[in-house]
Amino acid sequence: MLNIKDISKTFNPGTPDEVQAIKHVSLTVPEGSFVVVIGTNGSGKSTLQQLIAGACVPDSGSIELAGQDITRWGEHRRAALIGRVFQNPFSGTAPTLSIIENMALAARRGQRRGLGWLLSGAVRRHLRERVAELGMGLEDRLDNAIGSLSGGQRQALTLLMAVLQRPSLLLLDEHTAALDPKASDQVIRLTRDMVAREKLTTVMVTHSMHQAAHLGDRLIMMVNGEIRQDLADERKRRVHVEDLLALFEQVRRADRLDASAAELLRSRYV
Amino acid sequence: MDIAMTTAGDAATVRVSGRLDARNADILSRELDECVRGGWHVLRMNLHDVEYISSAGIRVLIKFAKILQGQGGWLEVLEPSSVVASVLEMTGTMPLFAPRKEQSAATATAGASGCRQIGAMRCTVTASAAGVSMRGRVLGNPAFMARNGSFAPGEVRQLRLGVKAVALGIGAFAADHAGAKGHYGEFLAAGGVAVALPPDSNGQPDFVVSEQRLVPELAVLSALHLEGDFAVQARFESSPQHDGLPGLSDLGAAALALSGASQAVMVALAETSGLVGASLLQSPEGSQDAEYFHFPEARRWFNLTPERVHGRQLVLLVGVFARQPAVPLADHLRPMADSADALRGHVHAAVLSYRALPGGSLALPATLADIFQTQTPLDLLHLINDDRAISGAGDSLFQRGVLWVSPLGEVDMEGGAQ
Ligand SMILES: Nc1ncnc2c1ncn2[C@@H]1O[C@H](COP(=O)(O)OP(=O)(O)O)[C@@H](O)[C@H]1O
Ligand SMILES: [Mg+2]
Repeated sequence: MLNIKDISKTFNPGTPDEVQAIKHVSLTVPEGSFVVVIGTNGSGKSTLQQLIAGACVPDSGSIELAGQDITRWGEHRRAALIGRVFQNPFSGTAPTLSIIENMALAARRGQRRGLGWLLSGAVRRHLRERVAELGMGLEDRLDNAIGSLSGGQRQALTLLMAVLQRPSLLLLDEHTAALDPKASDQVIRLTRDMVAREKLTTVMVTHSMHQAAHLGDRLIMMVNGEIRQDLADERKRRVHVEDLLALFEQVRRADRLDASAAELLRSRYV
Repeated sequence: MDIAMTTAGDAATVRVSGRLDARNADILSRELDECVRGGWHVLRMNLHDVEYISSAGIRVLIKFAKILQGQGGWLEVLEPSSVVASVLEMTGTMPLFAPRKEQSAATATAGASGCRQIGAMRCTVTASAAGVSMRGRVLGNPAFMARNGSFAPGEVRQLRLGVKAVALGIGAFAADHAGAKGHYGEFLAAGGVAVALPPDSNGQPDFVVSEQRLVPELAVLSALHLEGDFAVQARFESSPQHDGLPGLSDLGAAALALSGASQAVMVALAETSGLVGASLLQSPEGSQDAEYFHFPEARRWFNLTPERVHGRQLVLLVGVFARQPAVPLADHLRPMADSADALRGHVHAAVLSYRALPGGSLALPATLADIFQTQTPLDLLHLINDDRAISGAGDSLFQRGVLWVSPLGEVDMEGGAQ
């Protein structure tokens, strides 16, 4: 379970570049829940993920994960609990290392094991099986350098590495945005299957209305550093792509509602 | 292909020459659609110079013959070329397009009454009854929004709306407050049909049509509830003497002029040229210290159209207009424009997909029952004349339509008095 209480984050405070990226956001994600996050550009989706992952520090508020207050934990320490996949397929893996070496590094995360352990036959066999589950034939190329793979293959491996240790929380930040449609579909299918099979608590940011409508059991829409919509269970299941487009249209309208419009409403709305 | 049109009364003569193939049939269909929207109920198709007609062309003729039939009019084929005549003969469609001698229903009624110029509109009275007016009452007090207050469940009233009821306000289809909680939004009712827009419905209005013992029932936070018969029914269209289309204020002025009163009830079915208005994004009951009209909190409460929307659709308008309303009616009306002596009013609009209205005098309940049998309303708005300088979207505009108006007599207060 992830429990975010009233966190705020302002970048460049007190300067002309001041941005209130996250404004008093509270969010509870129960064990096994799959939350999809959508929102306009700059609405704070990535910042929220970074605050959860410890890549940046909140100005106020607290974050609890798996029963522990991790607000003051560094990014490294949190990595033992959190698996992450980013947009860029080239950021999650070490390009010069082989598939099996990358996998072994992920498998070793949070443990003090030597390289000898990595090379043991049992571990290799286990990792090979996991890679085979991707259904991409990569199990026969375990010693190839990751740099030789396509973006979709690398993103699939990054995803596998992120869930290998069954993290308390899986964070996905537009992890298919840089892929072509076919690779994107493939990675999304893998995501859905892995999250379902391992019952992973997941927070996924996406720009795809189709993904937002069809994945997860809860949908959050962020606008200007705040959670504007939070649809769960039945309401989430009923959401169609058109509903989401309408929500964005609503946001566009809201942005155009200025102080003079509020006065207009005061004098003309009953 | 060439299309030339001349009009007389509510009949249009359309002279087509050249080839009526699939491509040209499309073009013709669009032209005829304009004619029908323009209120011409009899189309005389002169096909003397048509040298070829395909099935696509025949289909267009049949389509408009059927549309016009539903409006008390018809389509006839005059002087068909030999090619056209033989195709219509072979397909057995000739009788459908036979020329007729009688007048259309619309011409028959229009002939009986005069045509009036009211502001930017030309109104033709199609039915009237002397000495008829409506009584009204107000429920609740919309001031709860202005004072940022919460709403006590005790202030909620139940409304059951019969065929003669006209109503608008903020409410929800429910038997009581418990059932309505969270769903309060704008509603309107007339002629046995009620439409409401629950803010939690993703913009999809809901509706109830009276049928046998089923009567629309709403729990309301605030409402105007009028009851009675209509004194005048009139067709309106933009006046050729005026630039621009009639706006909501023009409809208000016409409603007062036609009813000959200083306050009037109006129901209208009209073709829009774009609506401007607002609807609630959240149900407003029970919100402590909600600052509905403060900026930026208003963004959370209101969906305000940034430009005209729903052009070329059919709209059902329900409203009340008054020059110098007294309390309690005054609490429910707002200025229609930014000037001290401005007409005041309160109008809600339910948007429907466009379809042409039948000609002649219409019975409101039957017309609405017919429309709502096949249609689900697309949207519902509280209309606002956004006359802000530069950024304003302007007033709602209308092409033409039918108005039902009645003088509004005494208005009583019920409940929520503060
Ligand atoms: N490291 C940073 N320094 C300064 N401003 C930032 C930084 N990261 C994000 N921002 C700003 O914070 C806001 C939210 O950004 P972000 O969380 O990336 O939005 P999203 O992911 O929803 O597009 C934006 O206005 C962005 O410019
Ligand atoms: Mg209203």
